[in-house]
Amino acid sequence: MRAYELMIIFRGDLAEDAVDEPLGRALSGLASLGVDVEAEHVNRWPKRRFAYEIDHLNEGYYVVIEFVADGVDLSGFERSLRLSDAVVRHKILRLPDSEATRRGLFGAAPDPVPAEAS
Amino acid sequence: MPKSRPRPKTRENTRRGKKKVSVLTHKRVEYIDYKDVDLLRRFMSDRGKVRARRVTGNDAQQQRTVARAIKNAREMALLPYANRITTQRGAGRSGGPRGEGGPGRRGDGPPPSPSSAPPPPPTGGAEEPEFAEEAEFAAEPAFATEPEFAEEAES
Repeated sequence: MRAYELMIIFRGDLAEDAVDEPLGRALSGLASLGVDVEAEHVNRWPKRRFAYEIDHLNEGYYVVIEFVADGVDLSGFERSLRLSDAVVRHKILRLPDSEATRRGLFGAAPDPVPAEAS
Repeated sequence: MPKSRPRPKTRENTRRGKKKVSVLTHKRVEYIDYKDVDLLRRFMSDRGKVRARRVTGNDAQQQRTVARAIKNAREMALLPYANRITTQRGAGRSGGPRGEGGPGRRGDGPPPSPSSAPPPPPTGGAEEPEFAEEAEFAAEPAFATEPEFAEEAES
């Protein structure tokens, strides 16, 4: 199992609830790859100022999504993010396993502990 | 001749001082998150540059992860690539190479115009010349010879 962290920046000139629609599309895009994202792993930040101007915008809505996937080709999903007009930038990082367990991404149950001990 | 030989390092000529310990070691940070902007800012100068290891006390691995995290944070506009800090430069440094070296301009011609323009008047009050860079100096007096400043000293 591989844990990933996806950050998407949506345009800051949208209304707060106008983000729901493109965000939902991104989430369903993940779901169509067989990745199920739990709601508690979708973290919406309040509108945030950029450190520098991007496309004449100075602020954006940041959403951080953590998910676990196995052998999934994310390139098509990334392309759809890149093409989306509401998305300013995005980034997908692979989380190290230690960090993913610390965040409880591999299931909150302490399953991996006895597995390591054996 | 004992002087020509490289002197063995003794307590007198080695650089002493307590070894700096990185905050990462001190606080036992095990994952350096690029979203943790406040942590990463400690490893950057006011200008937005990554601080050197000898300043921060990071070991090589920590420095690598910090640098990568800063670069990721920059891509997501969480941290700046550069912070503009307006400074007043000393007269006679900038623009020096431009007016000189032309043919026929020896000692007989008119003296080369003052090599640096007078400090521009603040336009619209947007960017008043500040001394923020000097504040950076003052913040770290022990590391005044950091390479950050070397590029300005070379001319």
